[in-house]
Amino acid sequence: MAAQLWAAPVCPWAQRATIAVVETGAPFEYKTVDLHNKSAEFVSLYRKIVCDADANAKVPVLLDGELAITESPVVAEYVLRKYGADKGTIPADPAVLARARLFAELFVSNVTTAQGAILKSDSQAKLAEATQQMAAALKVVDAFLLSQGSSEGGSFFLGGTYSIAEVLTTSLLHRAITYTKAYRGVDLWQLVQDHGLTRIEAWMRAALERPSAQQTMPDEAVLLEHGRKFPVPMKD
Amino acid sequence: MPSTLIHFDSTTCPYAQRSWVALLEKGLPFEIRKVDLSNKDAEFVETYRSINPDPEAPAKVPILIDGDTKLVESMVIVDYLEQKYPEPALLPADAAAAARVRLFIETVGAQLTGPMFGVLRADNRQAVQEATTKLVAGLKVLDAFIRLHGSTQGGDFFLGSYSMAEACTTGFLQRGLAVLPHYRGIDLWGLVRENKLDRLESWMKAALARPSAQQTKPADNVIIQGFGKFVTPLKDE
Repeated sequence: MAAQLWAAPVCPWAQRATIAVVETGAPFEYKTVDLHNKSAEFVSLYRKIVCDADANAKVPVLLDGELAITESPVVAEYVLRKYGADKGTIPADPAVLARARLFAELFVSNVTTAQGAILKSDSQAKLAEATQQMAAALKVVDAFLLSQGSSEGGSFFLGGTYSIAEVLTTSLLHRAITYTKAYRGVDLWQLVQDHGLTRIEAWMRAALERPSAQQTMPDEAVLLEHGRKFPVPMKD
Repeated sequence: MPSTLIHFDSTTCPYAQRSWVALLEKGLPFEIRKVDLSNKDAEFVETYRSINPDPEAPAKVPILIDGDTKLVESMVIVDYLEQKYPEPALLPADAAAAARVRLFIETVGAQLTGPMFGVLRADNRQAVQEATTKLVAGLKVLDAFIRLHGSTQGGDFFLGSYSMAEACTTGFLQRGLAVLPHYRGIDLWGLVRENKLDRLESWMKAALARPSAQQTKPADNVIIQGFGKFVTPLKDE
């Protein structure tokens, strides 16, 4: 049986894995999951892998020979190590790799968290606070890019070298930009410009322009239909 | 001569215990910079801030300094040590086996650590009962997970032989064994045996017996005291 990657285009966590597959050219058969109408086959596969008959079935799921795994960072890392060893996506220098991992951690704990705060805000006052939180989050990531990243040769975290830093964050960046704009009118591009965050702005463009990002993005209409469940209704 | 590694650690935090164990397992020379998390010293805070540029983020352990390299986040540090000092290996060279180890670490978090905190947070007897049922369910999942994805070749650790699977999880097991009986009268060994979770039991014994686990375990009274803030007093007590 060919190696399989079960994913849903709308899910940014699964998109980490599909980006890894595109970047490495790994030979996977895509199995598309409709998160709103999960097949019995998918649900039973997921539950078998996690050994939990009551688990909520999630993407991504990866099957490769005897290996059956889930959890996006585990799946993405496996694909990059197994099929992309020659590509430098996982930096060979341990300190450089560690900084790239830290970048991904900081992005999620700052920007993705602020996205959640924006979508969960139910009043104008809370939205204003959450928007400040997002501005602060973007500043943190910008500062980390400047202090721990590179600008040599390009605008990725490692300058001209695309790496796991982008594999783990590009899809989350896309959702942060798209959802906050669509459901709350918050414009992350405007925020980075207003606060003079030129380094993260350049990084954002580079990450989103990468072919693997473009090829794996969900259809916008489908995404916004899927994402409607995230924002909480505003009271005022 | 490589510079000595410096590990900022409270010596009580199970996250920092991961990298402490990794340093010991690799036989690396290192210095512990002991941190009192209830009274953080300036050097610790400044070091943290020099790595994580978020001025609002509370300074946390662990921090690793290796010459010019400065890192935070326990798993980032453990992965760094594994790449930089590959012998003895804490991860197999085979990408698939390494992936199983990483998934095991996630699974312990979801099926043991999470439910354990659920039991401590429950605020009445009924809620404790429900949370304990979830914990038992989690232990069953763990046992089945080790049977399905692990091995018994070479020993009782997840992969048979010792790996990051134990280095990154045993501290949480040690915490559970200390706090669950004290705060909620729950005997974890009893639950494991009642439910005949033999593979989990043998894993637990092996993990706890590992010298690096024993060397890095805080005394039970220290664990119990440190966990007080996570325990909700029961309304119907």
